Amino acid sequence: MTNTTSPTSHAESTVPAPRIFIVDDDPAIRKSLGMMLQAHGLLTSEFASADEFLAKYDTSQPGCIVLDLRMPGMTGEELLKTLRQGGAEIPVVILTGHGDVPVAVRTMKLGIVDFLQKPAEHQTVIDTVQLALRKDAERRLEEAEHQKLLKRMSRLTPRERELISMLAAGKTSKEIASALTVSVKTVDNHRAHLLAKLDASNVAELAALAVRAGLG
Amino acid sequence: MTLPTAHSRIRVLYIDDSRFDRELVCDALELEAGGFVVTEASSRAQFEAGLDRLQTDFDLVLTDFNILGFTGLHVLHAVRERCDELPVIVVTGTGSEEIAVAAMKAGASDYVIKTPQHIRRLPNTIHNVLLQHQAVIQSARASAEVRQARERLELALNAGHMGAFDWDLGTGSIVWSDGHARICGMQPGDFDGRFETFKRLVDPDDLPALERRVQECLQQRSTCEHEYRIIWPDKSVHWVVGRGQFEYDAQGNATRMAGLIMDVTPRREAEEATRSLQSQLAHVLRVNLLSHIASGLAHEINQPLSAISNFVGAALRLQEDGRLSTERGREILREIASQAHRAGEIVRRLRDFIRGKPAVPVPTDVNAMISDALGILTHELFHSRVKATLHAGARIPRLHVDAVQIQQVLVNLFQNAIDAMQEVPADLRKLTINTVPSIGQVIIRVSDTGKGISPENLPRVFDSFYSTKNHGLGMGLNISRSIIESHGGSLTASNSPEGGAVFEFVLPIEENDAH
Repeated sequence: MTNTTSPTSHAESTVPAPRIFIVDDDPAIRKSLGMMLQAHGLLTSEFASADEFLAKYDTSQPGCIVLDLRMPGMTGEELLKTLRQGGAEIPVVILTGHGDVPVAVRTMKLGIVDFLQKPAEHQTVIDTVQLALRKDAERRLEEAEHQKLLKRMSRLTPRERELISMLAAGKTSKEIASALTVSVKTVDNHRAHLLAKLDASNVAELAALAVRAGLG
Repeated sequence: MTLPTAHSRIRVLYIDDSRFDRELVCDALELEAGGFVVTEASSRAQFEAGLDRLQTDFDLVLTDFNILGFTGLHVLHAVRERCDELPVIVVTGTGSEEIAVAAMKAGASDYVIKTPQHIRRLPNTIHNVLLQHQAVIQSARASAEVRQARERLELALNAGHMGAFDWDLGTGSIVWSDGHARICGMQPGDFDGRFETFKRLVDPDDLPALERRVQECLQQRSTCEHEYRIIWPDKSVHWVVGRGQFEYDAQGNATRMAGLIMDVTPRREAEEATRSLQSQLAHVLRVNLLSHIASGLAHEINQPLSAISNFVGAALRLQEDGRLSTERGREILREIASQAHRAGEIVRRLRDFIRGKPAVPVPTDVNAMISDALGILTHELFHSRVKATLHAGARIPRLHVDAVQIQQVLVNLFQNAIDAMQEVPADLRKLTINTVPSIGQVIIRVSDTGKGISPENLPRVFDSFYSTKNHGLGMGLNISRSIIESHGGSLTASNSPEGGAVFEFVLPIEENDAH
């Protein structure tokens, strides 16, 4: 990392503030892009090569990558592939002076936010980076929700898990009672307990949670 | 005519209308036993009847002067018409100076008065005439041969646009052949033979070097050859090559200089035309090469432009927010200026490379030129994953070269090296350039780590239209070699012992190439 800025305003937040990772071998591009994004109140970290980025990247850090294609060593496209193969879904904006149609198509298929050609309008760069950060935030929020759900699910007893998949499958209390050889009243008790435990207001919501948690 | 020898008899045709005189003369001649065969003609008709046989049957004509119906002068003319070399002796009873002079002028070899004592000496007279005549004929033949030889030489010299000169250092006078005069724009014979006159014909720009060269050859006793310009009276410029050698006497003093000059204007013009064509072709190939790397260069320019756009974006935002300090503003402006300069450098390289007309050679830093050529190919090198390294030799003088053309050679060699390495793994692709100072020259070596040049292709790589590439025009190396040779250097190809091709060229260091 050649340069890192961290305004104090974000320091008290428990979740780290989003950061833009600039990966470009051209020092002038790194410096100018960093300066411009910082002027727009954004945090940046700059890397001169793909390898340097990979060595220091922490997946828990929110943000996005502004990535050059042409670099000595690993190219931008190779870095993108490596990240995706490793399951990292951090949003990537390609900013290159060396683009052509085939590489644009290949990188779009790898799920980049946009493919910008140098020299790009600075407003376009800002807008695209902001979009990438929003996507990252949404993605992380979803991820957090999911993790929360999985955590709640992990607290259920084996009997409760059995019950929730049956409810999600649309079975009635009577059917479930018969299948589990318990009374209908027992099933209803369990159901009320489940709704409270998973903070759901009705069975439909409970079914949706079960599907998202993979129990459907 | 066959000349008489001691063993053959002299055949005489004798014309005289006086029987008495004929008997006298024949008696005198017959006294010389076996010496003469005399054929007599007593009239004009008899003489004219034998004219056709004059050349073959007689060695000498003896004629009276006053013959009935014509004179000895008629005989002389008739003989001369048919047979130029046949001697004629006039014998006459009426001796007068006028007749004698007229007869001698008409080509008589001798004039004998018919007195008994002269007639007695007639055999002797005839022998003398024949001997003299023989000498005259031989001398005439010799001079004819000399004349022919000179004419042949002149023809040969003219055919070769050459002329000969002979400079007598004792008298200071110079003799020119006709061709020499014509090469100098003068009429044959108009040259006054003075060295000063010749010097005025030489282009003043070329005269000091010519005189220096002649002095050198005089001292070193070597053959003198020099190319210079002659300005004709009509102001037209003609290129000549002069070649001569001094001769020395026993004391070692130069006595004479003889030699040739040759008009080489057509050759010079052809060379000029070739150079011009070559330069045009080089330009076409340069543009061709450029179209190949143009997109790479465009990308290069986008880098600084992109940085400038970003810096401006930063400054605008900071300024809008009232956060742009003077110090910060200055820093950003400096950055922008630096990036603008960077873009300008890329454009300069491009412009230098594409410039069409040949430049006047100027002192040029070879290593900087190589860096520029690598700069032009930055994109190519990256794209092809080739690592380029310049090992710059120390203390390399600036060379007087046409930088555009030499850079074309460099870009061409680098591009070839890049192409040659596409079949080897990326981490083995290395382009190495060495500059090595040597005695009187600088060696520039371009080595790659490709598969090298196959032995059967090695002798042909510099041939026109020879290419192993699908998209190759086959002119790159050919024109590269021409460019280097026109700079007085040489370009060679070989294979490195470690594999890979090596192209090496040398450029001469001129006397005035400064360190």
